[in-house]
Amino acid sequence: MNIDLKRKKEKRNAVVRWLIYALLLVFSYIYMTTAPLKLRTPLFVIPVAMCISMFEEPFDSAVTGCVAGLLLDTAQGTLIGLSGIILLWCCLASSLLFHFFMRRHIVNIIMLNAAAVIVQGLIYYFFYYAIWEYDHGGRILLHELLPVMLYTEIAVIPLFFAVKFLNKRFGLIIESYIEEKSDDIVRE
Amino acid sequence: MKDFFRTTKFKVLAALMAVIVGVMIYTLTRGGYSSDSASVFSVILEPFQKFSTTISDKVTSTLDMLFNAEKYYNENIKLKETLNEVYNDIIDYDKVTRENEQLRVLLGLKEEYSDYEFSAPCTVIARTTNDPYHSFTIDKGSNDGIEPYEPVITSSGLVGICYDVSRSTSRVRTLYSPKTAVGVTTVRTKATGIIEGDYELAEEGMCRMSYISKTADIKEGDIIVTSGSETFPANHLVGTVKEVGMEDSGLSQYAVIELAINPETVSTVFVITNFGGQGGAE
Repeated sequence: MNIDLKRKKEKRNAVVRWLIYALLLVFSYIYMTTAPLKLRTPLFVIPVAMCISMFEEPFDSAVTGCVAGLLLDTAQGTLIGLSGIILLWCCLASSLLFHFFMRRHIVNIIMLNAAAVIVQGLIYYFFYYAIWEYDHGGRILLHELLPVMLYTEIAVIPLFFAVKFLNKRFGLIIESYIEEKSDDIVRE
Repeated sequence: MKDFFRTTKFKVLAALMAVIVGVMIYTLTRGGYSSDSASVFSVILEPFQKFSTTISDKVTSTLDMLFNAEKYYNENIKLKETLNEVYNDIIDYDKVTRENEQLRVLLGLKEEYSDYEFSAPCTVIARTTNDPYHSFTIDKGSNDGIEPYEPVITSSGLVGICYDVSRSTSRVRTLYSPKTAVGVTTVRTKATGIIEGDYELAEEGMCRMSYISKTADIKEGDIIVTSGSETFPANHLVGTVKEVGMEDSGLSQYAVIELAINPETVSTVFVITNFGGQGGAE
């Protein structure tokens, strides 16, 4: 393929890809803030950001994580920036790990997403419940936060396949080719 | 991987983090107002939230109608019976109202709430994700004259208090939250106490009234209203007493209160932006 044409196509792909990422984040945020109160709502923005970090450059992933964290802060009513910083580091670490050490496999993203969810959840619990010494603090952790962490963990599975498909369709052409070939080699 | 930490991109990320930390510290010093960065998010996301809340409310009410038709039918029969009783009460009520009006004129009392200033009707545009105390966001903020720690009501009673006020939105902390403490009194005997949220009771739509004098006369069914303070005006319905007990210390009584307003279902509220005797609270 002509190099200029390929670059043009890759640029167009990147725009479409990032547009869909942005829509995914916005819809996740809207669902989180409008879902019926009786439901424990998964914190969709975390797995979305983690899945994006799996396929994108470390810098882009860190900025995405930061935006996702700020959305999470707005949705949860926490101090603006708290989850922003947490997810910035989580997505940066995840992106670096996938670039240098790990394969883009569902088990790996499940593990890294679990780490991010646990870190965010425990810091949120500590600052918003534990240090205030509310009655039933333990029950809140057990009945409110842990189910939410679990649902957020489950949510990463469909999101992983969605983002993987998106990258196969609109990702870097050479990278997706190498990815496919390496998968074939592992299978053989 | 080490090389990444020496690149300009990493320095940009470090700068971004420093900015966020700065915003966090700035927000903490704003005394209940959101920082401008939070306001930017609110302004961008508000139309999306309004749109999705409308759809979500319609879907919820349609599903509710389908699944709870039998329950509503039975409720309807009961309500018709209650209505007949109420008709009889209205006849007495008319007589009492006329007497009351004459007494008001006689004593030169002001019309109730004439010293109040209300905000425009505020629509609930978002619920705080997974908050056990059901706080929510309304579509009016400091541009509409709302300030932090102003009371939020509906025509049926008190809902909570504003906090985290941005230019176009405000967050409302409900009576379920342990951070909201309201001085209240019973209508029948004027027994006083303080309403405080409690996680276990919030799950059942109730909260706790504490610090009631050991000798106070309070019983199931008593109506609870605000007693009046610098933050909350007096005589706003809070709920009814469901249960009364003695504290473990034996020094005072407590009561479990069923709130008049269920914050989970409320969709439109008003903020009292000014009332006689109002003062700052944090």
